[in-house]
Amino acid sequence: MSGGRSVHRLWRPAAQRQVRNAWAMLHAHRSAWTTSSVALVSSATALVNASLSLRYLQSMDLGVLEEMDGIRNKVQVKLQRQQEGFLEQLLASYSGLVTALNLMLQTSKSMRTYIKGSGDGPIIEFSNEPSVAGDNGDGAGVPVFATLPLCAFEMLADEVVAMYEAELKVKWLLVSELYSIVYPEAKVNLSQEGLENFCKSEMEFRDTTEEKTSLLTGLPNLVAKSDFWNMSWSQVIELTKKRPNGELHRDTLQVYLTTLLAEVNIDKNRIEDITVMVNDETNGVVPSSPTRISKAI
Amino acid sequence: MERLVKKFEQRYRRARCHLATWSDLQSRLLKQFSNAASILDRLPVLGEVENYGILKEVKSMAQVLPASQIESFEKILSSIHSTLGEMEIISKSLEKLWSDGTQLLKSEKPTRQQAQQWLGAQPSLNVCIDGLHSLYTMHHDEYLLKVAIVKALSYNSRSEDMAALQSVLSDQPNIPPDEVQHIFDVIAAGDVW
Repeated sequence: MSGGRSVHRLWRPAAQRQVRNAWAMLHAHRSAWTTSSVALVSSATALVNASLSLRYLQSMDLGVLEEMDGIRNKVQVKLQRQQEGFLEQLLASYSGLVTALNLMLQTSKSMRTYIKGSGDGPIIEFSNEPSVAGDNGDGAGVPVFATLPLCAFEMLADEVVAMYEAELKVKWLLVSELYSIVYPEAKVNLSQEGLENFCKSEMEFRDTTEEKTSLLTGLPNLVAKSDFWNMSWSQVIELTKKRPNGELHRDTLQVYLTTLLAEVNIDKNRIEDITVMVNDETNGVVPSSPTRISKAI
Repeated sequence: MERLVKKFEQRYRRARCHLATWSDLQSRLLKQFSNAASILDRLPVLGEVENYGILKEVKSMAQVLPASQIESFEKILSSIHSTLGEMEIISKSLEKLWSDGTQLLKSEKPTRQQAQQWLGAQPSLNVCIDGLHSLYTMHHDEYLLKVAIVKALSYNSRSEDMAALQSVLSDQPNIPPDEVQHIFDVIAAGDVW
């Protein structure tokens, strides 16, 4: 960096604010994810229950109701309509997840603080966008707080985001399976439901940050919970086309629901560790900082 | 003697607080138990790779998913134990209320007649002590029963057994609600607390 010592000195408070805010945002987006994820599980459960009732409707003993005219037909129509409603909720929750992940991704990329203008004048301004050549926004690698340089914060955030991304892929597979329960012949058309667009924009975002992901794929065994970690979106979409024909067994549906619920790719313990690490770094060491978000994180 | 009965009233008020905490703990325990039971219930299904449908294509899933479920089962089990621990504390507090009451009675040395006497609607001292004692034994026995039920939770449990255990757990056979109500009614002697 060209500005000399004073620029460095002034860079740190600005960068500290930026990093703290970014982590607070990241956690906020994570809880938005959780909300959508809970909603997703409950609408998936409702959908599965409705479809199972529909499946067993013909063999069901309706007792005295058998007398009623066209009762089975009416029930069938109603259950089908319910299914469609649940599917709609399911898709809405899924897009909530995509939005949350997108925001997480953006947040994890917004930790750097760049110097604006030449940095020579009496006033030094900072910005989120690079404007000076040679300024990487990381204060030339100095520790932002006590020990960790900016890229360490970014790597930790990337690790968290990667967990959620892997989970989103799993959920995509399962959502497409559940979709095929309601509209069996329209399975490939899932991509036209607008979800594909979300997905694409997300993939584009990924592509621009390809180098960052490669850092992570370097240590898959350390952190990866499942193969989804290393799968690209196109591979996942390829998988949905492979789906076996015929009805899903109820045990399979059970497995699907458990998978949606368990979120195996999101390693809560690891996230907890990361949170503690970041909190310790951002709060513990610089006591006289103006913006404290300590407990909120 | 009336003064002593007042002192017992205070103890009963405290006992009532403990009972309220107990019922909170009870509903927490039921929730935890049913979560644990439903995990045990689906573990056999999760163990079969055949059941994984499209997830079969992703090999790691069939290993990771049961593992994560076992992990959460163990977590739930440990929180069940902490709930039980809190219930034990309640039963101990009820025991203390009773034994303090006994001490109180000993130090005042009422005659047998005084101890048995009812003052109008106000219960006799013996009745006060007995009530505290039954509250304690009810909750203590129930606690022991719950510990035994939780011990029965294992990876080998069958789902029918678990359903039966769960209904025993929610019934609380050692704490009949009308008897508890009766104990408090006698002490309150028509007053509204």
